[in-house]
Amino acid sequence: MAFNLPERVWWKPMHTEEKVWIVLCVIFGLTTFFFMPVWHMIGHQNPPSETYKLLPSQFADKVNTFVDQYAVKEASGEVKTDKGTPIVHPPGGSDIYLMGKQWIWYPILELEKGKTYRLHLSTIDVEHGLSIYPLNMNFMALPDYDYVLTITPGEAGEFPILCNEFCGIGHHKMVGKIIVKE
Amino acid sequence: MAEKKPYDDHVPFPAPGTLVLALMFLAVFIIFYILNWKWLSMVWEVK
Amino acid sequence: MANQTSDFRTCPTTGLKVHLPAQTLIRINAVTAVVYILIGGILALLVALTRWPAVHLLPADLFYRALTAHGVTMLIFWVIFFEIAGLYFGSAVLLSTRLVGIVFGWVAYLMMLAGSLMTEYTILIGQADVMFSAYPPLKAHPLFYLGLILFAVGALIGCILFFATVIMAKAEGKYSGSLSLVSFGLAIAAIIAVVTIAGGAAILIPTFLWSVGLLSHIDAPTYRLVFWLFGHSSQQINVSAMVSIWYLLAALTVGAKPVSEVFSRTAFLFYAFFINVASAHHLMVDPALTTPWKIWNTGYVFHLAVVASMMHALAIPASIEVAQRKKGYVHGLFEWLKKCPWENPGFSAMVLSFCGFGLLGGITGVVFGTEQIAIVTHNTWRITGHFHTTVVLGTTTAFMGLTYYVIPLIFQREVMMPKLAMIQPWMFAIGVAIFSIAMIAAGGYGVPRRHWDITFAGAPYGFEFSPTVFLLMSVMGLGAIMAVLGGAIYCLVTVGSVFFGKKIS
Ligand code: HEM
Ligand SMILES: [Cu+2]
Ligand SMILES: [Cu+2]
Repeated sequence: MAFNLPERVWWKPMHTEEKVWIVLCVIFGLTTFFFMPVWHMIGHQNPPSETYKLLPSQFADKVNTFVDQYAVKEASGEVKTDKGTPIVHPPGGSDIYLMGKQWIWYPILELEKGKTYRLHLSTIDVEHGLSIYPLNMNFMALPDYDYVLTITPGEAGEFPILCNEFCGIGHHKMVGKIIVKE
Repeated sequence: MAEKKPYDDHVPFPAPGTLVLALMFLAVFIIFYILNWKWLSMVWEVK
Repeated sequence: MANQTSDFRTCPTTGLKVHLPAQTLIRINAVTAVVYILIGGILALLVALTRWPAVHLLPADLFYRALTAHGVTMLIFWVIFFEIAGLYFGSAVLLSTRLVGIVFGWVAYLMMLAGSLMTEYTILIGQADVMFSAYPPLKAHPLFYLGLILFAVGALIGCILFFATVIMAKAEGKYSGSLSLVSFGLAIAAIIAVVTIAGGAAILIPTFLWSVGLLSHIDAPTYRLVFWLFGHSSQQINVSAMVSIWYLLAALTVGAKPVSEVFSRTAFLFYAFFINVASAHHLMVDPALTTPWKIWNTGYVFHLAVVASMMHALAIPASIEVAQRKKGYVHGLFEWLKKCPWENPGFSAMVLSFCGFGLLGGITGVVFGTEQIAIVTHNTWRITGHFHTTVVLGTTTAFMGLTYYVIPLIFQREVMMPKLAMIQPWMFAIGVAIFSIAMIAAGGYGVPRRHWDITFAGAPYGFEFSPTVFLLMSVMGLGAIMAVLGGAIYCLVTVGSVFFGKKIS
């Protein structure tokens, strides 16, 4: 039995079927392995790896500059906000910024469908998780690191963004949004 | 027990039912794997 | 003193010689484990009933506290106390030898107990609402980390005793040649454990120093990398221990013996060799790591550890089939399966654990952990569902099944309430399967893990999940109640039998 000591000589050849099973499993393992680099070549959804190190204060400065530059203005000249968070409309192809802090996503991004943006994601306090709904796309925001997602909104509409990494007692209230125009 | 040599390569694998179950398992695995790539390919482009 | 025969008794059922001081240690570690699964189960119910939107039991702060406590209590304390008991069993008892260094066994136990109490207490008083992963800059009270460090060092001592016992047994001529397959699998688990605990120390000690103010900064991605290096490798301990228990239970329940020792042992060796940087699949959508690094480490080297599990997936039912066919159940492809002792909780637990782990846990793990697919799975309930099918449906159910043999073999008591014991694995496993599948399905819609309110009542902007999601959350709640009931029966039968069961002499 399995808990008894093996026979003196247990090193006997495997059955053919056992060998075939190993071969099948290894082929499957190799396929799942090599399909990852292959998808980097043929697929369009790949986790970004472009990262820069910077202090939270430096990131906050960049975010503020970005908001000042591209904020959407009311007729009165005031910055348009939604529940206190400014709405920003950067041009297609530009560098855009999204900052997590306990417990809001800042600012609200207004993007254009089919344009590609370099989305800089980071946080100025604890870790947050960016989760775009209802697509369910998820990326981590870590302090001291600027994570650049090269992303192309594929459809128009309003996309709420949640926080999906526990970030303190207000975690479940951390909802922002991305607006995509035609 | 009068054990025939079950390790002998000429003796067929002594557990045919298991072999069927294992192959079914592999099939489910492959289907689920493919489905998930399909679902992934439906979200926005990102790199 | 070492070989005093009065230190031993002979087990009437298995003929194994049981070292009495080792038996006491096994008992105390196992009982402590059961106490922790009881606590963890109560917390599980509170957490699950809060996430069921129609019930929404706890307020937010208590929910996050209970969730932190549930993760730590179950994943660390229940599992590892049971594993330490299993290591003493797999060395001293299965080899019919003495456990080396009984005193150190007690030191290990007391350190683990003190550490676990310290951590539990810190969580309970609200000083560590950080989840078991405790990612800095979220900071817990220093005692939280200190307790975990104490616990880990205690567990490390336990592993060392396992090796010392195996080596001494060989030196004293208790066995010659190779270890039995079960002890071999446990040895692999213990080897991984040593590496893992070293990794744990490498990250918990600096984090502890940071929490008391001696270090000014913990780099977030570095913490995540090293934390999951041991956090995930420790799951490989669980897998290796669980698979060993499958072989053991198959032997005890139907007299199965491995069809091919080479095949099974090779698979165990793969576990030890191909874990690699196992943290990778937790970090697929993290900054600060390169794509080649992610891809290389995702697959634990071409998924060879997965291949190992798939080899066991063939070997274990094959061994059962061969044993059953020898008994004369040879008709058709599946008569042997029908004629299995399904009413034996040790057997049903083994099969349920095996099927749940492989079919649900294994498949979801490999797929969700793929570099690109992580984009749509990371931190969603798909992940929580996945690991409840591995570490709960798989590992925990296997441990439960083994308990029905540990009670007569080690506690020398009969299992009380056999009818309840008979349905227990079914209730638990089916409950877990239901709530885990519901979690995975809800996660597919994007339901996040560790989240108090998916209706976003107090949030500035809302998001409305589809009614399907709410239906799935209710199914999750019902499955959770069933699983918790199954767990409660387990605690009842175990504790009842251990203290009041009929003595076997
Ligand atoms: C009766 C059985 C159980 C039920 C009903 C249950 C239920 C749950 C629920 C509802 C969550 C919360 C998910 C979330 O909000 O994201 C959870 C989390 C978790 N459970 Fe369980 N669970 C059970 C048993 C176990 C066992 C036996 C283990 C470990 C061996 C375990 C380990 C965990 C872990 C590690 C977490 C994650 C905590 C975190 O995200 O920080 N559970 N469980
Ligand atoms: Cu957050
Ligand atoms: Cu959060």
